[in-house]
Amino acid sequence: MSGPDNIGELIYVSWGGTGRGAALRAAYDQAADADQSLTYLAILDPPHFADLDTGFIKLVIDELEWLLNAHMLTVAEASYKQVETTRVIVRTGNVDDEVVQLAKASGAQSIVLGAPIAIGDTSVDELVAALRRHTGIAVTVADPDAPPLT
Amino acid sequence: MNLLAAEAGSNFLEQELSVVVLLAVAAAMAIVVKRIKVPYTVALVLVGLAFAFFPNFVDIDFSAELILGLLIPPLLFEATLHIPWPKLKADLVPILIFAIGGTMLGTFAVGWIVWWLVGVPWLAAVAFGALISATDPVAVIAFFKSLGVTKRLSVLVEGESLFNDAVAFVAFTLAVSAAAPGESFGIGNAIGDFLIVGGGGLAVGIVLGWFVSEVVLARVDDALIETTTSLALAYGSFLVAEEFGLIFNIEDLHFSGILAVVAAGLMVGNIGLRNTSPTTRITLEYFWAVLTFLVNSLVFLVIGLKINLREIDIAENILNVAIAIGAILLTRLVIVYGFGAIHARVQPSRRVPTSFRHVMYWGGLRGAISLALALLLEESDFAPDVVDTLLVMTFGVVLFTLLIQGTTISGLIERLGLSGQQANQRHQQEIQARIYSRRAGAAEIQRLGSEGVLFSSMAKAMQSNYNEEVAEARNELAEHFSTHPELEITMLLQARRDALVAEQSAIGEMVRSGFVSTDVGHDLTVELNNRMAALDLIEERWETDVTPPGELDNS
Repeated sequence: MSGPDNIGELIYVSWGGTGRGAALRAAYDQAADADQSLTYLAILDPPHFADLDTGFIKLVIDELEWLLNAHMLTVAEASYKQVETTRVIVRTGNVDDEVVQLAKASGAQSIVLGAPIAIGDTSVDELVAALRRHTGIAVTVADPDAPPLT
Repeated sequence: MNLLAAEAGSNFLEQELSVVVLLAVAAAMAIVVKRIKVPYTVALVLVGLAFAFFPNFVDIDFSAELILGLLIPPLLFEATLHIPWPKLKADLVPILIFAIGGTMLGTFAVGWIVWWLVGVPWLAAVAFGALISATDPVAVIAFFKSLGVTKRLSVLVEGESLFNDAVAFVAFTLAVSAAAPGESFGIGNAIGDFLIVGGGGLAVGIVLGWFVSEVVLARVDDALIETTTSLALAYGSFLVAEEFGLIFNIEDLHFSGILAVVAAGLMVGNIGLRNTSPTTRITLEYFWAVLTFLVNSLVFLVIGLKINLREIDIAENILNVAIAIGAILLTRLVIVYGFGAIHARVQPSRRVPTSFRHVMYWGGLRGAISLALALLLEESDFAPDVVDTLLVMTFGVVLFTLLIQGTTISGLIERLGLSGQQANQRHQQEIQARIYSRRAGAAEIQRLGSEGVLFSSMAKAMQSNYNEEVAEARNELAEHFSTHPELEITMLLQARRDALVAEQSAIGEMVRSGFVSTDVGHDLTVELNNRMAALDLIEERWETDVTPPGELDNS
């Protein structure tokens, strides 16, 4: 199965923060150029969010989803390019597990990491290599020097 | 005529006049510091010091009991009122490590240095080590607010200070008690007493705070009642804890009043105000802001007044003061960086960034608590010359931290790049304001043109100018966002928070108009409060605090 509407899908991943530079805008433009749908996967990973109780983490997920949806729409509104389908998914868990799981489930064609923060002892390069190995698709780190909002 | 009554009346008038003078000075200094780059608290201390040369100008005696019982409780209560429990809980481990471990280490390490180099008795040195370990973040927090320092750093500094005040107070009391005839200082007893005094204080604060929150504040939405109740709780929790034995007729039993106030403030801030309407909340916060300003002003003026420069033999005491300053700086170094390193191993996910540790080290100012505890030494069993030595050393350390560290901490914060957000946000607001005002101007020109007051060609030309300016400002805003992308999410967070506050007001209106029941209104308000807490958490952990500049790979 492919992503939404059965077109190719680009997964933009961030954890621990929204990502520096114009990462989301770069991913948006990349998805538009490749005529792919864009899925914003935000992961609340254990080092930062494991201590929260179940009820509260649900509220955090709701609010973050709301904010990131608004962020995505802001980027879409400001871009000259257009991505047909966008969606935001917020999950809790380990970054590599969640990315691999979503990529396999949606048949994504590429993955862009928007928050290049090392996870514990795993460097970003190691994470990229592991994701490539497990998904078999292109994995890149977002271009922090993407063009500004207009 | 009753002469004694007349004398008492005259004395009261003199004291009242002194308070009026102090308040007027505080207000004047608040105006002056807006024009000069000196922290408000530091300016007040300087004025207080100057009063020593005009002894008849202010005739009022602030005893240690007055400072501790009247001035400290509202300061602690107000500080805790604004600390969200999720944020405190997230950093409770490092806060307790610094506050308990750090203060205990500070007490004995400073005590040992002072005992060795100054030559005061061991228990007196330990008492000094304890009283001087209580940090006072008022001046530093004021800078945090004006420089837009991240909330996590504020919570770490405030949290450590709130709890180490209590630990220092208990350690000080134990050292002073042990100096009484027939008493001794045993580590086992000290730990037991510490647990009883501290645990009891927390329990008193939690019980009273819960009772007031659930029984009064959560059921009433009235600014006057809630404000009065919160004031009664601030002083009441302190008194009940300190005088627990007297109230319940149990000999020699007292708990930590400071911890009781801290716990009560946290309960009210996090539970008691959940049903409070925005209007009542604003009134309550305004009341506490005014009270804190007044009390803070008095505290720092009193610090200056108490350090009577005319009566201190500077040449004789300079070496002791230098030793005390060296001891606190050295010990603080070990506490902040040593305990910080230990914490990083214990809880790597909440590691306190090195840049934060620099601020915590240099921002470890000493103030009202240290001074009040030092004044209590006058009632102890230590020899008068020992008490005098410790008093002067305390004054010296308080002055050094306020005048040297207090005036340089903002430079350090800026140097470490921890103050950038505020400037960026201010610039963003400037551009947004320009867009808003230009559009208002363009609308007015359009109105004048359509009403025939202005030639239509003229109106079009002027509108075109405005449109160009708006387009330029929009481009500038886009450029600004691309340079500071964190502002995008910050802006969304702020807008979302404003929207939730508006939703709360709307629910309050519906309850008042009877459109929805109180129960439904209560449930909806609780949900909105929880959403606000979730937003706070997102702001803290998702966007800015997790990885300060230059430390991305260590998070």
